[in-house]
Amino acid sequence: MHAYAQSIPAQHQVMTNFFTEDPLVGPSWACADLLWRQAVVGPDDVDVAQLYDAFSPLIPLSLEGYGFCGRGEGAAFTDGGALEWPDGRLPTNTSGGGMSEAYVHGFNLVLEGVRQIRGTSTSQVGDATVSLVTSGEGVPTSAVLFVGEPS
Amino acid sequence: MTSDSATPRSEEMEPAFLVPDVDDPDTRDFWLGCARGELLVQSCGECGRRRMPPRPMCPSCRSLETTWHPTSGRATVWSFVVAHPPLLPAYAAVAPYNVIVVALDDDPTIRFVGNLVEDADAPLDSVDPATVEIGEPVSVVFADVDGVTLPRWVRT
Repeated sequence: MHAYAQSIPAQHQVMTNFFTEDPLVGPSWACADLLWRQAVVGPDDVDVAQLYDAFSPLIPLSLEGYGFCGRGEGAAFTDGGALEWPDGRLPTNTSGGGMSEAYVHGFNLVLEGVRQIRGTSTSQVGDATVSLVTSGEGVPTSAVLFVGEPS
Repeated sequence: MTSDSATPRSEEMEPAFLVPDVDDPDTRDFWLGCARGELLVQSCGECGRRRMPPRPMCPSCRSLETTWHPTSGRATVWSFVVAHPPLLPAYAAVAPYNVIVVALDDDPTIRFVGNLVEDADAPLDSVDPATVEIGEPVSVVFADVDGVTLPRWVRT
């Protein structure tokens, strides 16, 4: 485990972020700020991501929040199979995400994030050494970054 | 976030619209304003910063001093959704209807959640939800719902 963080932004109210100054900048941004501050790697170094997807918009918002693209660019980031396994720019939810795995509040995402670093995933991403796992955008959130040894 | 919509429990469900507690110490002044036909916004008594929803402490300077100020009641639709069943019975009866978030013209960082309706006493489904547009100008109106005065919005 390389880094972990949890956070909410100022004025945040659970699932009603439209009361904040910029409603389209949510808890992921605040959490990412703490996470990347601890880490020796950054968003460009992430090989594989498990992003909590209880609602579809959480994916583009999380991509923005954790710095893979700018505010408002999350949907465009996913174009061209960017999130697909195995050759996308950022293979995401490689164990299926909420639609394909049991909903246990993201714990399965942590397992998959670890498998990717150990090289034991059934959807293994090449020589993944940097693996990001996040909790949900839109609520008080958290994230963990696993970094493995290059094989 | 569980969904038990398949379970027939209508006899236990609340049959009427859900109305707020208008005697809560943090929000009482807001509801009293609505009853008078005024849309009030809470401000910090020290630094003057507006905040919504109402709460005891200023998130900016932590003062517990509170004041209330009327607004123009003019706003812009910031976003909206269209509600479909499964819903509580009173709401299912008027679905699909819109739920809008508006930003106040007086201070666009102050937003309210409500419904766009044809006029103050019109039902929630009085505006075709397919016609609601982000950015359209609206004005507050006040509707009596089961004895409580609620702010709603009409096109200007």
